[in-house]
Amino acid sequence: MIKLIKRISIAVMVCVGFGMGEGTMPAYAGLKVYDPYVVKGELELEARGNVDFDKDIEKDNLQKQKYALGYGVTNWWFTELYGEVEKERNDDGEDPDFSFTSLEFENKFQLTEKGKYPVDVGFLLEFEVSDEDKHANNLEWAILLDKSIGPIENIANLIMEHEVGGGHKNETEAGFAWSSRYRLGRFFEPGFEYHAEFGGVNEDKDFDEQEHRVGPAFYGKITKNIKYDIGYLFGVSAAAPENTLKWILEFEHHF
Amino acid sequence: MNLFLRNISIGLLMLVLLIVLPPVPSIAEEAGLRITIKDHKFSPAELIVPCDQKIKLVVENQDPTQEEFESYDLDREEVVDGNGKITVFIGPLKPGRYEYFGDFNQDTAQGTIVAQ
Repeated sequence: MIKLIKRISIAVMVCVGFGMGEGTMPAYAGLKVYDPYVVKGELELEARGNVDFDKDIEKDNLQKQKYALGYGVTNWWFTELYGEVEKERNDDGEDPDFSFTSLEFENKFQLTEKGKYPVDVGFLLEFEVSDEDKHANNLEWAILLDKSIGPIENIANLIMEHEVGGGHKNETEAGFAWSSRYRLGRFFEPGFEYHAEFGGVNEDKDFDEQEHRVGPAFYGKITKNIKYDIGYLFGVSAAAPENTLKWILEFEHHF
Repeated sequence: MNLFLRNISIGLLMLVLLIVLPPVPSIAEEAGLRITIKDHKFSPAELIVPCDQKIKLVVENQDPTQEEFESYDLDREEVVDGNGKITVFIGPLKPGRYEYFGDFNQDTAQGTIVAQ
């Protein structure tokens, strides 16, 4: 219990420290469902992206890619630095090339030992520094929950985001992500994901004004060191893109 | 929306409290079964555990170098420092054989947990 309190305290201190940052960018769910686990000494190279498909040209072919380097500092703290590029339409509706949009500093804290309690718990803290003048910086935090029932692993992320720095909206946004997967074998685990962006906690958005996406996802290893995570999500609310392809590749090596 | 988020928050708080409260331990969990790593081998190489209850394993590394206790069958992956030890909670397991290995010395560090 003392270890748990210590981990939570450090997570909160890091959170408060980065809340002092300047600058800023609107919230965006990363379409990644985080498990709460950390492996000490693990170096990770990650590439991930998503592309939206929609009949509405304003929402079609929007893409985001992130590239990251991370390291498991202890058996309960993993830190990672992301660079993000984005392809979005400009104010004239043109379809420009990718441009660098932000740097993200992400920290994951494993708060409970795996399997000790009925549900495994972690905490994610991310600070995103925007490279775009039109966006504020963004502070995101999430509670990560994992519960395996037989061969089925279930992961839930409860996400909150808040803009900070110059030009920020004084609004905290809420999100949710879920993944269930059948642990068929280390190279192939079928499942599904659900991602929701509810909007601001003080807003009163209808379901169709929120973004809800759900669809099949597949996880596993390509080689001993390379993991994949690929999914195809269907928008189930009007505000969500009709279809989204998401993919994640992770190279892991222990030092 | 506010009501929805408030309910989610209260539910989450209760869930977290439930999680951090210590569970009632089973007999196997109280005792703690021991696996030792020496010369990059697990001992015992085959450990028999009771099925259908949570198991507390203490993995002690008597080598000066790190090892990683890894098992897809048990869904565990955890590093043990040289001359260190970790606690691994597994189960409840159905009757059967569950393979594990030391990721840094896979040629020699192999073991099996037999739940019965």
